[in-house]
Amino acid sequence: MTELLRDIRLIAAKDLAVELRSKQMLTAAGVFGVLILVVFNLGFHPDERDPIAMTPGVLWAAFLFAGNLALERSLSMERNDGCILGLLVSPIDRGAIYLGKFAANLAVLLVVEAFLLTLHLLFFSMVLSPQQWLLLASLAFLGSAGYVAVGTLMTAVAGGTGHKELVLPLLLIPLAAPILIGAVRATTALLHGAGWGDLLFWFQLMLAYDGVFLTAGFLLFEFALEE
Amino acid sequence: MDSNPFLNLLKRGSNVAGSAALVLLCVHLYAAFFVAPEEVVQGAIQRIFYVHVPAAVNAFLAFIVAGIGSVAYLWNRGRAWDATAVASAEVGVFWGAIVLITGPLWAKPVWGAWWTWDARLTSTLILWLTFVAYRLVRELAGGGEKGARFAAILAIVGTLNIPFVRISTEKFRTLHPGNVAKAGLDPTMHKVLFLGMGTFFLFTLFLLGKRILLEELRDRRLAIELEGS
Amino acid sequence: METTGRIACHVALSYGVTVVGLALYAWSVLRRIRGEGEKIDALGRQAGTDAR
Repeated sequence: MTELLRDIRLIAAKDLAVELRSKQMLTAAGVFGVLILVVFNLGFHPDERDPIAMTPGVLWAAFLFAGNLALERSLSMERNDGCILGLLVSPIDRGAIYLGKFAANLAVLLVVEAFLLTLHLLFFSMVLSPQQWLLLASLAFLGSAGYVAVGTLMTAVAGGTGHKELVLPLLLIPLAAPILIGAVRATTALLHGAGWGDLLFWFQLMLAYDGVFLTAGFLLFEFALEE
Repeated sequence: MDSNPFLNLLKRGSNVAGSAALVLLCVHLYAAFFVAPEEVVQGAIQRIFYVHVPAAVNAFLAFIVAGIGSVAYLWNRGRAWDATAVASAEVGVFWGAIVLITGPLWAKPVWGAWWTWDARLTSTLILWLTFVAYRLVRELAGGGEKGARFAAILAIVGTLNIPFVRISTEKFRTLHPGNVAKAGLDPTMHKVLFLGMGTFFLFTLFLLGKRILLEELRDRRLAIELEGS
Repeated sequence: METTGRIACHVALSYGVTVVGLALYAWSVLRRIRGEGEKIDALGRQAGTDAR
């Protein structure tokens, strides 16, 4: 058990160190997310947009598509330089590789999301109460965890097809539909002043989703790595 | 005629299922139009129900079989399991397409809109997209063992996603005539509905059998070609 | 509520799509099976000629 945790930390630290040096995922996902925010803002006339009605959809669309891009970069990094072979010959459990990559991808996505959220609030001149911040942060964490849990596994699958830019969103968006629905509904509720109790159902759903797909990824990742 | 008992069983079994399905289809069509009473509120349009619901049940069943076949394939790498998964994913996509076409045809006169993002239709669409992607993954990965392995991972994750999709879309919004309506269903309507499910299930068995047979034949042909070259 | 003709059309379309869809799908699978069978036979014959 301690060994597994050590390996997970090693892989996550390695991925994060590489990312901090190259900043490929952060820039790609960040810039793309900003573009999505801009597109939505230009898509509605400033006088006709309703911040509370638009925020959940705009925000989560930006999160999901930015995350898609970040996940796609995370794998090409390994494939390009043949690093994946190095990982495969190392005595590290495949499940630990998965969890390490999951942790690193999640950390990157959360940074991007914090940036996009701040920008979005500025664009719409919105102010959130401390409780809303806390609720939204928990939602973003649980939702992104599920998304990245499925996404880390699916990047490996999409990578195997040799057309990952095309295939990844096709796999990921339908699989992440429950997360999207839950996140959007819960965000709408919290913007209308709902508290922890009102969001309990969605938190439970996301927790269950995270648990199921983290376990699935842990068990199935090795089949995606075989050559 | 064939040395392989598995293929023989497959051939004979699917032929029996297919013939029975054809006979039952005639009975079902007759029953759906002439035996089942006219629904009081909706009128004649409700008869779409007798193809829509059986198709939906069979689609979900096929997706679950695809998931189970994929788990078994990753477990023991038996080609027959993979063939089962491919076949049921395809049959599931077929039934799903029927559901997605008949749903809007029913919804337009009753709800006034072709597509309403109703829970059941949305969840069918989402799962249908996953299994369309399954096919794509297999083809892009170039078939063979690698494509089978990657596709199996997707099928398992897609099947695990079924309850989440159902629960979230149900909570998202539903206009669907659901369990309450079914409990109050006329007994004759119930019988016709079950007849439809049985008929379509036999078609599922027939299509599955033939589709698995096709996979086996393709394997055999590829093996001969490989031997020759 | 829509007209009776319109409703009859929707019902007919639903059943039509299902039955025709079933027939087309089954036919395509059976045709592919026959195709594979023929290819295997042809390969077998070719192997026979090559052997001679």
